[in-house]
Amino acid sequence: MSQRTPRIAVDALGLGLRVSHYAELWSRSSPGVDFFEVISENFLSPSAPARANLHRAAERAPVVLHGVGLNLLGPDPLDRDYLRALRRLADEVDAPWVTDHLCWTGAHERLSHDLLPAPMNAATARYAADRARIVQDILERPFGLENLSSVVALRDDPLGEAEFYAEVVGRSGVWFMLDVNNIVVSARNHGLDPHAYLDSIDADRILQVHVAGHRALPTGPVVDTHDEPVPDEVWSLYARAWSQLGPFPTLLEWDDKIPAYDACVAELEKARRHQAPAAPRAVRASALRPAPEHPEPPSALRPAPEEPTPPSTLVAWQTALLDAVTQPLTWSPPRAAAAADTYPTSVVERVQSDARASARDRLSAYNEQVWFRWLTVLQGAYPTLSRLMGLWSFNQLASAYLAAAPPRSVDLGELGVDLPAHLASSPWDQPLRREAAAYDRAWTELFHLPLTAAWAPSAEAAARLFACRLVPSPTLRRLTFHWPVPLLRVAALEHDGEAPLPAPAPDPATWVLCRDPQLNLIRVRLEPALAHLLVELDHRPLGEALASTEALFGVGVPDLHGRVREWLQQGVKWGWWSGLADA
Amino acid sequence: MSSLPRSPAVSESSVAMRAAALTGLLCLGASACGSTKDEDHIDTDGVASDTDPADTDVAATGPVITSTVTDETIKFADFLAECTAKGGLIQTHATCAGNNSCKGMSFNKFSKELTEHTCKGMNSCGGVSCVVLPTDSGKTGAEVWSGTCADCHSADAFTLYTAPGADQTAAQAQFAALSKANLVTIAAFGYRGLNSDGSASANMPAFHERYSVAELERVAEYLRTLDVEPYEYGVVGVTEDLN
Repeated sequence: MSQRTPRIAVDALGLGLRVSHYAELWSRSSPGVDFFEVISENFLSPSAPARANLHRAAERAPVVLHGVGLNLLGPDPLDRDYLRALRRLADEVDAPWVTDHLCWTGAHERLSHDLLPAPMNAATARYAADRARIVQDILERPFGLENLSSVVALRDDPLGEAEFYAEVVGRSGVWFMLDVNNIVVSARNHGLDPHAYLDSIDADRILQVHVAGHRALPTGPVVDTHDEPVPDEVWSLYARAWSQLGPFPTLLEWDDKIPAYDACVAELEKARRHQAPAAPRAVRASALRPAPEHPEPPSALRPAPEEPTPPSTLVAWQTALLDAVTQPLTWSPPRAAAAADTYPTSVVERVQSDARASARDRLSAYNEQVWFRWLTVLQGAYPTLSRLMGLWSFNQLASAYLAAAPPRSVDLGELGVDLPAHLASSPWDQPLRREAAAYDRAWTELFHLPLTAAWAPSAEAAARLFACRLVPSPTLRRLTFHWPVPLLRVAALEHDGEAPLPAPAPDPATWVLCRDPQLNLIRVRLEPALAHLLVELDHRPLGEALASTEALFGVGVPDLHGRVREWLQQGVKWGWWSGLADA
Repeated sequence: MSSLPRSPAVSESSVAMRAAALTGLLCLGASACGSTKDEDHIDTDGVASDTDPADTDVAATGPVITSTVTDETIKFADFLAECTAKGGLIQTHATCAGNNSCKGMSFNKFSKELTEHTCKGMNSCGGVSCVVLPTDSGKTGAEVWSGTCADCHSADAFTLYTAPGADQTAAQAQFAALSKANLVTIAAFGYRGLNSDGSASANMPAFHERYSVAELERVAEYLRTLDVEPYEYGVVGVTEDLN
């Protein structure tokens, strides 16, 4: 990392990169922004398509990492495997900095996948600062903490949100990842003074600033939805932040109802209109370089810092709050809703309640957000199953699954791993649904596989080919269905409604789903002779598999030899095999 | 599957069957190396059945490496100059570690090996490939167009195929923004039905075995003189979001 240079200018404009932007971005001659920010957790798996996209982005502009899964304030020890993977990812794209949130996301190995608030007092601040310092040491690059947009605050907190934030950053030697939208959201939820909030921020410790949109719930709380253009209220606070604390790199987040890439860039460029000329700050230019600012010797020369013990008051609150915000929703048509009246009084009484929103409504906002996020992720991972069942029934199945097996992986891509098994033993089980679930799961698995090398037998191997088995590549799945499930998936992806799709007529066949070396996902309906050949190849040498296929289909299939030649050539091109094995 | 017949006792397969398998696995014969055959499969439900079965020449030459040298000093500019001198085009792969399409050369950044081959070379993750195109037969852009492109893209206009539901105005703008080099690359190496980022596109076969670089440049220039007519293609296939 010694060669790393601060490649992002102090007044750079960046965009949060989202999947829906890829096609447009790849076709542009220039990205139109100075840098990208990606959600770290989306790129921790070895998925070759995900990595290919990340590298394509990194070829166009510098990439910084923004995490949602660190669980800095969580009571469990820091996840060292996660941090090592994060470090590798940062090295891979040469990320100038990494950021995450001043919050917790889970406790006792159970995750909410939400950014939850903690009691704001000196003990929590010390705990957060000690852990943040460990994180920055492991990453060996500037680490920024984002201020939370909170809906819930505790009645008895001795520190205000701004004070708490400044205390953690100041004490730890990490950096401010200042989210202006979050200040507005917290200010509206708790009646804070946003200007006073800015006054507590040290300009020399700002790594980056976020802007985004938010939304007010009918029940009162304002939530940080990132699904709207940046509101005037946020731009006006941004303008004040710029004149008081700028210059700083600015990044636009847009996570839901995402418009076209160009529209996001246009929204981001509005930032320039809100940047009054600021006095040049020589210190700021160097502030992006990590090493000179580090007061400590390099981490290799220091003993590994001890992990702090979480304050017991923190752990007690987290245990109670996690139960409340992951409590199952009630399913009475027309909508699922939090059962707000069942939250324990001990939790409700600690939460600030005022004319803006009641304590129970504030807790419900988290409770529903947690479940709707999980259900949306599962609907996305199981498009065929969810459309076939209709979203109402699917959501109930998914809720029962998550209640039985609470999420434990920081990667939301793994949320649905065991859903097919759960379906099979649930009241929603039906043969067609099982096949749909298996097909959807196979798709996800193929997407997440690492890069596999293209393989073709060499001319030298020709002599022994017939005595060998062709080893199936992990990118090849052979699936036998009683219904045309792969076609149903195509229909399901075009189906926006919540009502169930009609079941297709039975049409038994064997299919192949594979990922070719160019990372295309391909499905093919196999003719019976090819299906037979592939089954035979699983356990027999090529010569025997060919003989058995010829004996069965040599008469019935016109031009079997020509077909076999075609299929095998196609199989090689599509990467069906990864090598030869002695029989 | 239950409807599959049970395996009979294994006997020896016929010579023709073995020859067919060998030809297929070693990617030999007329449709090997650079074939666009696979484009037919991505959007269809079965393996295509329009190939001539008699074409099983097992003796045909397979992938042949003609030279390998280790060059510690080579830079991209050198490789590009060498490629251009050979009448070749740099092939950009959808991912790293690509196979190049056909005759040409590949550079492996890690082993620093520069490999010349008659068929299918592999670069490394940090490598680059050059595909050698035929020598120029002097065809004008209009001749290339009417002899090949017009079959799918109309004789006197340019039919721009757009994915189902795609914004045609945006597609037209994207198309207009493509540089000549982009167009030449697409004409040389084709386009696949599903990009690695999950976006849909129409299929287009590759023509690097048919035309020279200069001919492809001429047809790219000619193409810009034609009116663009967007056309939404219908497809049943894997055009779904890879997220």
